[in-house]
Amino acid sequence: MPSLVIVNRQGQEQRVETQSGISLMEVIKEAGYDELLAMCGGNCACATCHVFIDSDVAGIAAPTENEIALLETSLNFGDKSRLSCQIPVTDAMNGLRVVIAPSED
Amino acid sequence: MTTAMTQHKIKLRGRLPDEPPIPAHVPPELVMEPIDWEEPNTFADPYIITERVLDELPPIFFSPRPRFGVADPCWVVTHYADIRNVYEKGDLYSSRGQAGFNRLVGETFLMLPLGVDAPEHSKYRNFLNPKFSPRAINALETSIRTMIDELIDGFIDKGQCDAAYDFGRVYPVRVFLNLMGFPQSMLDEFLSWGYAILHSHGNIEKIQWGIGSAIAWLRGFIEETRKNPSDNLASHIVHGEIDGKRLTDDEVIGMMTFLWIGGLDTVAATTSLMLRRLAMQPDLQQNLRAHPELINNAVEEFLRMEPLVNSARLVLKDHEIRGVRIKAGDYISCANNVGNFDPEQFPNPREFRLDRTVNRHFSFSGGPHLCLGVHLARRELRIALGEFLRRVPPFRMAPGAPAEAFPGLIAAPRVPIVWDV
Repeated sequence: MPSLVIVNRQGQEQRVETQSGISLMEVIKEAGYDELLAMCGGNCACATCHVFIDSDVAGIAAPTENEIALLETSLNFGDKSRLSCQIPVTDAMNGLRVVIAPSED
Repeated sequence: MTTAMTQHKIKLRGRLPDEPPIPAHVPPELVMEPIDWEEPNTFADPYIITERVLDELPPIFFSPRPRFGVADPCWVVTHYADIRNVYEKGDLYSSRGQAGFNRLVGETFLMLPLGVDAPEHSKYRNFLNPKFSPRAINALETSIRTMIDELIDGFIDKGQCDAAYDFGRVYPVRVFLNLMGFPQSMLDEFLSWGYAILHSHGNIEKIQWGIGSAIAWLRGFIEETRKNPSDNLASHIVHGEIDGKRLTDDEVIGMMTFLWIGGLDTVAATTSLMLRRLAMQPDLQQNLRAHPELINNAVEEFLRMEPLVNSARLVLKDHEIRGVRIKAGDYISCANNVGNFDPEQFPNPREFRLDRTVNRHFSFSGGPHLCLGVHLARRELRIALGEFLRRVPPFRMAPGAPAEAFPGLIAAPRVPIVWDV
């Protein structure tokens, strides 16, 4: 049962207990963070599930070309950028800090 | 703001004699066709006609009416969760061949990116995404604002205008022509072709004339652009490469035609319905005027309550939906005009509310084919609504004006309004 630290757009942190086997996007949505729009439902088509994380710390697989292509269209694209819908939650992610990227509106 | 509770009775018919036969596996008691989903009405919220569907119709039924370019007679799902599955489960549902109006004039290219599934779909989507991202749309903001303000300048002192014909119909097309690099002088002709395709209630000859004219014109423009590259979106497509290979002729015309269709009419329709509703509901208008900081929420609520298109998919594998047997080769339509009002997703769904924190509706479809133009559409609508409310005094429908609107893409072609100067 990995536990994550989620940081919202106001900088407020909250520890969230979760389970492996679903995507990080779904974890964030289910924890009530409505600001993470995830408009395309997790299908790597929109870039509104954008988060900042330390991917290499938790052994998370590198992004695919599709994910990179979408991330590059984001205003807030940086070296910690990932699309949370493309990251399955695993036990190795216990303690991972996940920052919700600023709104692009 | 609540609309008057009309308790709108559902009006159904069965299959008509000239419609295709119903497949053998479809239970006869599930065959039904709502009569009024494509008829005009005079309600301030034209979509109120679907208010009893979730309670009174089966969650999945079979519509006997063919929809050219979209579906044969098809299943219809109405609940939010089921619609979401159809948009997202790519192993069960395919968008191959969707929006295939061009087939009516013997053209075999696929409309792109809609008409293909993963993995090919991602290639085309990745090719176009950067031109439609929030970052790209930011670069258009000034020109969008200018076009909208120029139109308002034209009628602000008159105390009246047609919010659809003089405003909603025009500004989105101007923005789109500018983005693509098409000449502004083609506005009226483009609209006449577009209406023939999308507003003619399935009249085959009209659709053929519209799509044939558009494709012929686009092919000419593509040739000119081949010789004269520039930095507009049309040139990006004509001279485009994917994985180091030039796009084929079919890929170019497929993208150009689909973008042309998508860019013409949709933002216009939403704008006209939005302004019509504000003209007919002064309390709602006043509430928005009092809360300009909530413009984004307002636009999202208008979008939710005004889905223009119910899109369809082709079924790839036999399976069941709520115990009903669906077969490979069937078509299935997503009734966004019902699912956007599902109380399991949207509390108080028939209320226009500025406080929804989650407004993940289907007016831009869902899943991987989520409308490419979503950021452009939202930005245009936000600017248009904001500027209209900021500059035009409180407005109302012109006395005696017909107040008809369609709960769909034809929307509100005329919205004559007046205000005190």
